[in-house]
Amino acid sequence: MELTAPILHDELVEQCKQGNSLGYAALYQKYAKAMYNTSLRIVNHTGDAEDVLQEAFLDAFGSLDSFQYKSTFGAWLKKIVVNKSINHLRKRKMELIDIDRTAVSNLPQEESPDEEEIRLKVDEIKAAVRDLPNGYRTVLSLYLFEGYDQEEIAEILQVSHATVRTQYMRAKQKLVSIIKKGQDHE
Amino acid sequence: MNNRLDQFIRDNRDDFDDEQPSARIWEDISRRMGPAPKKAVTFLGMNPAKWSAAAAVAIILAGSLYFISQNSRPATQGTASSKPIIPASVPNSLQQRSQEAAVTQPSDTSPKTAPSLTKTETGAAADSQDLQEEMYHFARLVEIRHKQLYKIKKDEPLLFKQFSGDLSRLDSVYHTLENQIPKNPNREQLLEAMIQNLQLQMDLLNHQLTIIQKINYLKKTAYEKAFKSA
Repeated sequence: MELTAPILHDELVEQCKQGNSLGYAALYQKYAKAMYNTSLRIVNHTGDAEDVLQEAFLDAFGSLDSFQYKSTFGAWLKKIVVNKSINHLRKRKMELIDIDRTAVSNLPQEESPDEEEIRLKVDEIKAAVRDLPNGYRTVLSLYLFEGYDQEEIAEILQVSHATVRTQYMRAKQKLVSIIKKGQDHE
Repeated sequence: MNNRLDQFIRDNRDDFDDEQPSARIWEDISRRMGPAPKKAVTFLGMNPAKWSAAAAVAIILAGSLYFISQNSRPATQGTASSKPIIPASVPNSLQQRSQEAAVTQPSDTSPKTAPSLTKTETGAAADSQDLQEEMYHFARLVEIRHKQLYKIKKDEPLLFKQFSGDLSRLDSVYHTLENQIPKNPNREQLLEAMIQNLQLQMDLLNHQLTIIQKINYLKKTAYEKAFKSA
């Protein structure tokens, strides 16, 4: 039996390619909110996230002719949003790799974050993600929320796979500790 | 890595996308995009779906070049007093005009050759009477084939759309030529070009009808095959 390629054909994209302006509005309606939230988790600033959103859609619409369904339109657009968000952080000269002041030897290496004790709520997690330093927040967002694997993240951030792994582990620990701290203060 | 926090985020992933971008973002985007970029109609677009129409056009162009190089007139009308003046620039200008016309009237999918012909007839002078007759002759043939082609509209709507699209381009060139008659001193030359245009239309229609016959034949054999094997 022959394997068939997944059908990525998008009716709205085709409408746009044919010059139908309604297609653009429909694509925006469909993806704007998710893309805005993706950007917001990385840049951590509503104004910047809106700039990224606008630029990303303009870029995507402008180069729609070169979009060849190698992925879904959503995945393609998300990659544009992520790259623009990261560039935004870099432009603000924000360090994307956080240097943890704690010496590595002081960290219990294999101990996983103690998640069983924390009660998980969407708002608490969101607030804790906002409190993370830029580098941690970026790696953690791309991995936990956007579903990229660590090798893809290494490629996006132009760092080594090992760096992504340690950054992610530390980011996760930090996130859990922020959540726990918040709950302790309740 | 598969633990409770990861699982919680995965299970409630959509709840994390709860922030709304402001409405002015879309306003800015649509303003900066300007009017939707209309794609120009490509004259010989090699889209595989258009292979049939494109092939027909190619054959006709080759055929008409041969026709022009032979510099012979069809034996349908023997009353022509002088040899036709066919300048070498006609095919070029035809193509150029067809592109202009395709841009200006891309949605003209129902060519109306016959009415335009009568308009020309009334405006034409007596010295080009024989050319007029010849044109009428071709216009009739084109009309008959139009009717034949129209029959496939129901069975092959996509093919019909492509076919009539190609035809309407030729037809809009015809109208461009027609509009030039009052301004152009060399009426005979224009009428020749118009006749050539009608000949092209007729050849195109002939080829399109041949393609339809082939498709029908293939359909029929496929049906019979399926019928026999069932």
